[in-house]
Amino acid sequence: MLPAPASLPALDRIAGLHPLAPDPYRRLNPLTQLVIATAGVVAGVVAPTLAGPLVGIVVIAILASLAGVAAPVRRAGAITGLVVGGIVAVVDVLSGHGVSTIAGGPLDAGLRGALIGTSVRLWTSTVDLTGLRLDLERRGLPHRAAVALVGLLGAGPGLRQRLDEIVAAQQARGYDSSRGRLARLGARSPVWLPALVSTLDSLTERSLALESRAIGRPGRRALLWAPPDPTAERALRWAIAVAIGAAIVARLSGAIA
Amino acid sequence: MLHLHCAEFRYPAARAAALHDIDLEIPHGAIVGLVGPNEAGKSTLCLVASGMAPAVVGGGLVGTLEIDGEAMTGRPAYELAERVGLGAGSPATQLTGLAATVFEEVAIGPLNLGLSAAEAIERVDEALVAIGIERLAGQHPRRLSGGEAQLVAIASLLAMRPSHLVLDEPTSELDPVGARLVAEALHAVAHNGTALLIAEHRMDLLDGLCDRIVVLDGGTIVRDGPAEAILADPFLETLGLERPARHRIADACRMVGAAIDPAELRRALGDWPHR
Repeated sequence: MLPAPASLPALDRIAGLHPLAPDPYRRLNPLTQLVIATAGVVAGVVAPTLAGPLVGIVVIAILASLAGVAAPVRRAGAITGLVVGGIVAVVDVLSGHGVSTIAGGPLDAGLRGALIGTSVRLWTSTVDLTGLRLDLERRGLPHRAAVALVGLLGAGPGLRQRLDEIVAAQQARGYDSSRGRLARLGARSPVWLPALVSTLDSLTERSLALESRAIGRPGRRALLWAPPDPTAERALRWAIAVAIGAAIVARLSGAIA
Repeated sequence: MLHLHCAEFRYPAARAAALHDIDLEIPHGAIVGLVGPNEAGKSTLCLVASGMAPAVVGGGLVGTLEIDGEAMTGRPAYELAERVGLGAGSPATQLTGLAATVFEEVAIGPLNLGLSAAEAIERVDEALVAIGIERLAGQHPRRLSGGEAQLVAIASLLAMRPSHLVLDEPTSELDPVGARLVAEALHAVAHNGTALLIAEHRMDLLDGLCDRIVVLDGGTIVRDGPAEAILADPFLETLGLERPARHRIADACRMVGAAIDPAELRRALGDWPHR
């Protein structure tokens, strides 16, 4: 049973520190956003015919526009679609199927890849990890598990940030950043290892900070605030979850080809 | 009282011990400054005195750490954290990365101690006011400057109200006003009975704030005595450390034939902070 908003004593004051997001997608509960992303990924695997993934991509594109992250989501969809479709096309050609099955082969795979890519990118571009942690804790997930989960999800952006810092330091020492995207990507390859090592180092220091704040103490914590979770959203989440389950079952049972 | 007895500490896989024969007592209400050249072992001593080495960082400790007469060996980190607050590492990594606002960041410690939301809020308010950062309450911790992050990290420790506080370079990124605010807050918590160990390079900050100074070199305590005597001792300069400005000014005046008492200089400079 979730605590009623009124039972969170500091709700008004702490909620005042969390201004409402400017768009309706970001105002969704973080768990709802996670369920939508999961539905996109599952649909990328089980949705029937070409229309299924196409509809999914359109839905994700609308949500990305609402959230103001259309450009990175579009890029992620294009890259994953082209890579997955390209791989399938190469396999088709090498296995002698040729281009006659492109609609059932590379195009289908590309669309599915694009749907998965856009779903994941939409979520990573907009997720509020703090809100997600608080929401999961409110639902009964142990504090340490919630912290570990959020730490894991935040590791990717952390590594990327460290990489950017190292590249910026290189630029300050004369590295030419005016070259093309591929050249910049190539220039980043030697700094992957140092970035990884320094990220791990900072994780060690951060774990010290967490331990010195008694993070390991067993038992539940009082919550100062948690993201709102209206009834309509809970119903939507359940509907999506049931649809995901039904699609998986239909796919496994052969009802969806 | 925090008591480190005959401590020798070795980091995991290290050949040599980083600390040897450390015997250190910090009674409640005392402010002990820890000084020494680079690589003297100050940060290691902070980790060992807080119990986080070996509890979190690993390694081997020979000797005992006692808090208020109880041996802390083998205790989990959260039990140690309830008794000893540790501020160590760069300011950015002292923040947990779990909060969306400074207010919630400071509240994490008290909430982890099992306090109710109302009690945690009261403590956070008090800590933010003590360090003078109420204006930062609604900011995202990731958008803080280095100095602000350091102030938030210290406020986070104060909000847990530990009976002992170990701080490694607590003012390294602060301007003089920020450093003074921190020093005044530390002075106040010591006045309320908290035992403090502060590793710090700013001798002028330690001068007047600390009752006692411990000098560390090569992992061993080479001097331990009243702050007034140790900070005036030219021995510090043989270790590459600088004595507080008032002693250096007094020496310079003496060299040109103008005798000035360093104690008078301190009074002339405002007898900071409140001792």
